[in-house]
Amino acid sequence: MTNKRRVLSALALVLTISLAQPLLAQKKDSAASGSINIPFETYKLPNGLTVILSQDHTTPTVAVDIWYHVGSKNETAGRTGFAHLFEHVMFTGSGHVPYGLHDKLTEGVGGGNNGSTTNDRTNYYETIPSNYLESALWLEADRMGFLLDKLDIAKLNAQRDVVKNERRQSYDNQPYGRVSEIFSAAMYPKGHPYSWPVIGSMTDLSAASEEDVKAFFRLYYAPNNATLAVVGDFDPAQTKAWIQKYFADLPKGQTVQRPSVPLGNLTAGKRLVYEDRVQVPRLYMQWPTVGFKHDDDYALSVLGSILFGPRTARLTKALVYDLQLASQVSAFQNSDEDVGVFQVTVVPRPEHTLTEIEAAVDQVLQKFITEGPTAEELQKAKSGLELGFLRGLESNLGKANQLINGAVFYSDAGQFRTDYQKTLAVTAADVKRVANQYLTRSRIVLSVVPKGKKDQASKATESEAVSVVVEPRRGGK
Amino acid sequence: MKRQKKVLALAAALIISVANIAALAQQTLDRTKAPPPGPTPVLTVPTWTRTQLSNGATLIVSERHGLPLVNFSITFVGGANQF
Repeated sequence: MTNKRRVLSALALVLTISLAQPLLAQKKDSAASGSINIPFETYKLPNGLTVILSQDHTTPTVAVDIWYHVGSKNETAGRTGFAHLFEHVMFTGSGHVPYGLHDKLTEGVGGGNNGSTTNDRTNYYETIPSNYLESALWLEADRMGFLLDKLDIAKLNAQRDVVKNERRQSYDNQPYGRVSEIFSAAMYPKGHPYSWPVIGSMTDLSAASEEDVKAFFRLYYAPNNATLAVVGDFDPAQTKAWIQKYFADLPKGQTVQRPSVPLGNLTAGKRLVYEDRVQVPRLYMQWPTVGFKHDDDYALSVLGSILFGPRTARLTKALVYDLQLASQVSAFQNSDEDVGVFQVTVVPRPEHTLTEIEAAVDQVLQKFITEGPTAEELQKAKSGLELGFLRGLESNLGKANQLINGAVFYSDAGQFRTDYQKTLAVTAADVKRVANQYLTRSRIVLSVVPKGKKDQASKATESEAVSVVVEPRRGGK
Repeated sequence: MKRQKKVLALAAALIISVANIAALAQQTLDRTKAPPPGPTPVLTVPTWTRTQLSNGATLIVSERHGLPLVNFSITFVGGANQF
């Protein structure tokens, strides 16, 4: 480090070329399964807490990661936003941990902490110097077991306001920020668990009572609905003893019911237009596909990677470089535990209309559906996905997330090996088949246009206006 | 008789050890105090080799296995100070 710094200060400019190539990209017949070596062990405490331990002594750091199998889909209509609200409340202290100590024992010692919420799960994590592992386990156990001891209405209201502000910043006052919730509401029938946004609605956040929120916590934040991973530099015997000490006496909660969730299925296509405070219109398309537990998810991910990415990717090449209709394109399979969608987004260049763009996208897709990918396209796409996947396994936290992801959704922490193999095993025929199967379905076409410019929508006369409830302005003009 | 004694002794030993564990558990389970950190860990820097290629370039190699990834980086001495 010191040496490196000296060299850097001696040279005002250093040219660095950095390349990273997955070794397997050229040889998919090699023993792929043996190539990722992440040893781990897993066990369950009598209260139902699943534990995963994976040692890596490269650096004296460790990641502590807990996933609760609860996300926005476990909420009920009229009470949305709870799972994410907890992500905030969980950092405000618990039974034995005063507010502020969590940050002190993580960020304050050179580490980090955060949490995230999706439709399917909520996670909380610390990355810390390895000699602070015991305190991190103590912190996590305390908020799992004793959060409600210190949760009162004042604290809840403060976090409710923080979340409402997050909603304003990230969705309501963000150009194109409401697209995802417009799609969720249009793709799924009313009351479907994926029909509302993770952030929740302003009305529901205001309506949540202290008891509503506490009941949600008691059911979903119990050890039997949680998976803990410790990854990095630790002593396994000592760590197991600490996990026993801090987590074993937390009571098991009720069994969580997991209703089966129907896939998105549009009986007819929808064509929508939304007026937003934006300067440039955008075209979005979504097709209902499958969730990430379905095997077609692998080929659909490869399809996304073939259509969008480097300048040679199909849609990028055609729309941005060859035809120069668009300044930006994206295409990807976006999958959750139970459902998934394939989404295409295009930002037009100023002199081109969304109608023109839609026709061009359809032409590229139609050609692809007929021909399928070339061998080179397939190889490039899979290499890109492989690199991204492997990069995600480089850090302690990345490994922890992969291991828990398997344990939570597949009851197998070793699922990452299957995901890796199945991605590499996708064939040109698989990609062609999923393109035929999913991209020919009824879809939603959404045009987001500047205020008062509904005529800029793709096929404007056939498009139905979306009305979104915006929070009433408080005071002022 | 002898056998019975043995059983009693074993039972007594068990009771004592259970009591010990309970006492230990009570002692250690004071959740109000943050556990103190362990001793500062020692950083072990990965090893590397340094060789000179025939064209004069310096080659540094550091191996780490586990993932089929290689990072490759070239630094040219040629910044603003040289011009």
